[in-house]
Amino acid sequence: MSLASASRLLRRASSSSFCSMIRAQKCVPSTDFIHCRPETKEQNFLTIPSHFYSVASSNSAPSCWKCGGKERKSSFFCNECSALQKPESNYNYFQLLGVIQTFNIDAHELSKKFRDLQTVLHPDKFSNASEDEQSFSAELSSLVNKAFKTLLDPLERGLYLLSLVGDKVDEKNTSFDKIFLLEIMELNEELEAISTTSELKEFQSRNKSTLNSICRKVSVAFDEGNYTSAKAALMEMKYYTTLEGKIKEKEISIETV
Amino acid sequence: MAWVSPLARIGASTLLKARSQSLPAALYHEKVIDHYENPRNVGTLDKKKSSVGTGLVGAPACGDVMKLQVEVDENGKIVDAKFKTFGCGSAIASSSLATEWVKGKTVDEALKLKNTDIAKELCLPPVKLHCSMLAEDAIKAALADYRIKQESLKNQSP
Repeated sequence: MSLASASRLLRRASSSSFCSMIRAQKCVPSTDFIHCRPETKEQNFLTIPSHFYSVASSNSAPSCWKCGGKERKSSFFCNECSALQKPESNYNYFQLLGVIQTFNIDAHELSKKFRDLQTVLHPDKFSNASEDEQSFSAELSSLVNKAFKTLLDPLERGLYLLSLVGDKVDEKNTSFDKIFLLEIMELNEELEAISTTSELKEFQSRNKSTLNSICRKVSVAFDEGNYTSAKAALMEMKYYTTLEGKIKEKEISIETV
Repeated sequence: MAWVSPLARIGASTLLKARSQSLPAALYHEKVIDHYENPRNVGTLDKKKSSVGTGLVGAPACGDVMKLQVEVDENGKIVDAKFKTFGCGSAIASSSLATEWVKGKTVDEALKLKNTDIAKELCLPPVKLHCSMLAEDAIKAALADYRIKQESLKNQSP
């Protein structure tokens, strides 16, 4: 059965069988759905990757702004008129992108889900749609970009996970482990004194391996649900990430000399 | 048209953010830029000397690190102060100003120095207040280190 004929069947079907069809679709890999082109706008839902349904099921969505329908086939589109819905005020980035909420994220999967989402939400897809939908699309699309950027970066992802449990790295906490601060001070001084590309390369590879080991520490801490040590490791990560930024600046200044 | 307002709000805030990111220098007060370009008292004092107190503090939210040292004479007066800061312009300016201010003061007077005074002098915006706090903490840490050294000296020679 082709997807087009499936959707024709669906349109005729009652609401109960419609739901079961959606449930059935959950089992089908999302890739099957993103390559097919719907005949009309009404069949739009077939292009929505299956992972969207998990977002919808966790929310009791308000009724559709366009037709007043209560049913949602995803948190983004109305079941009845397929109109793009007003974005919710607070999305969970993991749910939004349809990935498991964990620090050990699969970057490949994340990128794929991100592209899938932009395939249906990007403003380019709504150039002929109503003004409302155009603005919703712009808002959602930029939110998806922000979520992707946050989850892709280990430090940002860790801080975001921490924020989900209501914790954050406090600006006011200046009394850090003295030995650690001394080490950071010395590394900064060492970097400042570097004048050749080879020295810088060596420094950078050392910094990268430190960052990798901290990353593993953060990962273990989150796996154990130990947010205190996750936070401590994330603070360390922040320092080495800042150093990484300074290395890049130095790289440019050495090259331009 | 209720749907327009949230978008308009988001649009405005991202625009402002983009502007502040692209023109950071324009948002710093000239006093900050002056201290940033001509920092006073950059350097290191011998931390092994009993008359020298060293304070090392960090801002984990920004990844900044600040070292501030004071040298105190036998009358309890701060005769020299040095700093080394790896951080943003505001953190550098705050610690530079702090070393200028504590010089010539007694230890007790220096302890009264408040981050709000530094922030006021440098006209720091609210998002940069923690940089002045870092400088205050650095002074306190340096003076505490000095006092610990002095007390252990007293204990050694009763």
